[in-house]
Amino acid sequence: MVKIKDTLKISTYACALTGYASVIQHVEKATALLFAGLLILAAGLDSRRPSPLPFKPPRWLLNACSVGILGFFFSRISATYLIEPILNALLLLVAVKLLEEKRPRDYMQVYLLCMFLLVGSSLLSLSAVFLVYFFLLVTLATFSLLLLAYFSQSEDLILTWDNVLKLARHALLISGIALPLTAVFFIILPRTSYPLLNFLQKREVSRTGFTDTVTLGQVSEIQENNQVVLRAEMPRVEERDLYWRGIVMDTFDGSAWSVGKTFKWGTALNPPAGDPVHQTVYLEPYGNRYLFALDKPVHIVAGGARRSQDATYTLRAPLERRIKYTAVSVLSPFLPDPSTEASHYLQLPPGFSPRVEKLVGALKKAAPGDQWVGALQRIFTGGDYQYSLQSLPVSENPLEDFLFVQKRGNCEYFASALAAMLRAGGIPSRVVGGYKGGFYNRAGGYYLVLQSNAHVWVEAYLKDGWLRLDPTPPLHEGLPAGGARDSSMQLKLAMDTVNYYWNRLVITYDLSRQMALLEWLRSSLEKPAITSWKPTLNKRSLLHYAGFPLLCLLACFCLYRFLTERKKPLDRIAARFTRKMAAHGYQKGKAEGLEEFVARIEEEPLREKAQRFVEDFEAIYYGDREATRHSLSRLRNRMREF
Amino acid sequence: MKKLPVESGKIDEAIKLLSNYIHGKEAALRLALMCVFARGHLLIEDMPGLGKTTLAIAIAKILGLSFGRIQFTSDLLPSDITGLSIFDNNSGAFEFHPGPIFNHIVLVDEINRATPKTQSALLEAMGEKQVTIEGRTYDLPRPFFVIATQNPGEQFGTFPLPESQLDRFMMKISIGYPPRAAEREILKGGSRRKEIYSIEPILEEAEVLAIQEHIRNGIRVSDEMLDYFLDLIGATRSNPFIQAGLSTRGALALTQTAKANAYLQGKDFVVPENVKAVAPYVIPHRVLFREEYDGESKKEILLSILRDLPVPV
Repeated sequence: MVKIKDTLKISTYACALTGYASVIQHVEKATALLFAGLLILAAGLDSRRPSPLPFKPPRWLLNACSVGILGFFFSRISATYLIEPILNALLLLVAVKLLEEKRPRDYMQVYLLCMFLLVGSSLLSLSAVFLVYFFLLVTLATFSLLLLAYFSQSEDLILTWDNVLKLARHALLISGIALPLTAVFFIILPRTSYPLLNFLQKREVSRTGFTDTVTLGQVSEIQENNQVVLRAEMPRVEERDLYWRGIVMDTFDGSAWSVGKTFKWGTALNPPAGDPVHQTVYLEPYGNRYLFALDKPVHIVAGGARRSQDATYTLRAPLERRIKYTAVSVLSPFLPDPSTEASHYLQLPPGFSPRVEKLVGALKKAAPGDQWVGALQRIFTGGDYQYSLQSLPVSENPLEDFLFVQKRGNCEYFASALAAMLRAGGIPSRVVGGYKGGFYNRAGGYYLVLQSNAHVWVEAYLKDGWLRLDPTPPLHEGLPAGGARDSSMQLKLAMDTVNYYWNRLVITYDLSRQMALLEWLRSSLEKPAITSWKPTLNKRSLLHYAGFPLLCLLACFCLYRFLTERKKPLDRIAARFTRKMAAHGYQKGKAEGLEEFVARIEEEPLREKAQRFVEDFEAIYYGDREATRHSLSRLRNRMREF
Repeated sequence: MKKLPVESGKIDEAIKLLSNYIHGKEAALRLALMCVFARGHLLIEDMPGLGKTTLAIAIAKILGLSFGRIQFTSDLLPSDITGLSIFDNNSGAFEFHPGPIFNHIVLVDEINRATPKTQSALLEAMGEKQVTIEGRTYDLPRPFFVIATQNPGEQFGTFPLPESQLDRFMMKISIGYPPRAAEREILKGGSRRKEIYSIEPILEEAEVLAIQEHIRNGIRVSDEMLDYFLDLIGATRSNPFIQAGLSTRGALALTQTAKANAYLQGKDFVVPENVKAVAPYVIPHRVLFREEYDGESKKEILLSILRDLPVPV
């Protein structure tokens, strides 16, 4: 037995909390804290305990507060800062509403404000979590409205738990039906080819990511970030080939590598030998213009992307929202490029370390021709140098420090040292920034690459082409090796599948996709479906296209089962029994008892079996005997006999 | 499974034994036993000479109970049933002489021949299971079971029982004419009424009481079945052919007899079939049919209700 008043209050607070959770990352910290404080205060006022305030806040005071809040935040609105002040104001209005002595229409206003909060948050960012908030809020608000209908009739109504549960079930059912309908509208409502409301969206720029200049020690900052940088839909490849190439840096000033100022259009190179690998990349905004693809990229198709001489692809402006592009790569460590200006890649800062030059000279003397390069690499991979993300050498000349004193560093130190030493020895070289490894998501058929996969390696110009050299010791801690072996990563990958499908199917759904869908529908209606489907029907694509709707369907099914699961297992067994009997040609009447029913079966053996089943069944069903797993399975076995 | 107070085989044995004496009345016999075990009373409506008395004696004998018989006539007085106090000269005090009602099984022949005053004296004793005479209350023996008979035809000098009184009978049955083969046996062997008196009882008084207790407390009625009962009761109340539906006492009687039916089938729980088996004998005499449907179709109306009422599973 619960009072309707209390139930309504609890569900209203739950609504407010859901709205709060949906906007908490977009509102100012002060607002968020203030809301939390006011919410606790309101809950204190609403609970039956002695009021924490000596007086009840009068309505006129609260109304004045509301006007003040609105005035304050509206004064801060500008063309580039439009949604956030409104969200701030709305959030505080909810808190003020909750403080009031609540009448039915006050409750309605709270629900409406919460809905506005959710809608506002979706304008700023639309992630898969939105669906959760949406479903939660719709269900809670529906439940509250159902309660409100009773509450407005009599405020002191007392409900039994059964009734509360019943209302909750109705609310779930209503929103459960609404959600698939929403999905239908999402698919069929006409779209524009240009997203209209994008100007409202906040620029999603993550602070970490590759910049044009990589100062020694900077990549370790990126590596400590566990955000997703890209997802690449492609077949699985060997782990040693997983080098996601992005930036090529050719200028070294002693402590930092940077991209040369002069941009040179890339000419079509002879692609390296090997099979092309096609990738569809979903790149998260990371604050720069470089596009990533597996080493060596041959072709990238993205709006406004251009290729430069060193086989990097850049956008015209830094990436500000998630984009999708396709890339073709040939997995080869060697890129033939006879047209390279060798002298450009031999630059070293004036007065570069004599100690390093001495070391290089010694190495060159020991091995003839280009063989000293191998010896040089072995220095790094031989075990003298250790990989570390902590206490990196930072000094006037960090490279010398790394090479001769500390002998520990992260990939940048290794790559910088190798590239600088190669240059000192007269071999053109450059530093390449990108990502190494990735986690293959079998369910989605894509690689997930995190910022912590960030990596830097070297390309050396040998025999009319660029050869990839990775001096970083391969087995180092900190940098995930690319396998997804531990269970937390598995879980993360599973969670990421949802995000992936959300991006793939919801965020990037636009007019062209809509048209394609329409066209497919039309053609498959005109032609027999089998012929139009057959060429593309393979297991993977089916999984891709059916994944999200299947998830939705599964959720609906679970919900349905939850609502109808009240039906005891015995009822299901009975239903199965009547179905089986119907298959034998005996239709059980609604008003017919089981015993009468089986008594009219004419075949002797079937009747005996059915009678045995009915005997056992009735003993449990009518005899109120406990339906244990054992007795249920016995019943099922009996049924299998017919 | 809870141990039964009496092995179910014993009752089957009793029925089998009795059917040697009362040919073709097994169904009536079973119903009568159900009525005994459910602590109710039985009204048999039938033509004279179809073996009502034989049935009553047979039950009394086989259960090892005492038997009394009252022939109702229009000049019968209540004290003829209950007994009366007579002054005893020797002791100088009034001494109570119990009437025929102080028996376990009482056969009341032609109950509708007595005046309402006498009828109600009997019915009161049936309901209260005790008799009050001259300020003193005497408990009737237990088990106590009344089998009343009445002739169906409208006859001169009868006082038909009103519905309120009929309600006191748990069941109303009719024996009907025996089948041809059974009647042939009877004609061949003659009446075996005399032999019945010498039947050895199979059950004892204590066992009958234990069975009654078991039926009351040991037979389970699940929630689903309770809903079924309530649906059935509701259906009699809302049926367009019926003016007044089943009373709560009627509903209790229905439950009790259904339990007794389940017991006779060797089960310790009630299923819809048990209800269907007893409903035609428990319900019709308790509900008031609209005048235009009153008559032979009563049972048909009830059966149609049962045909349409969904069972729990």
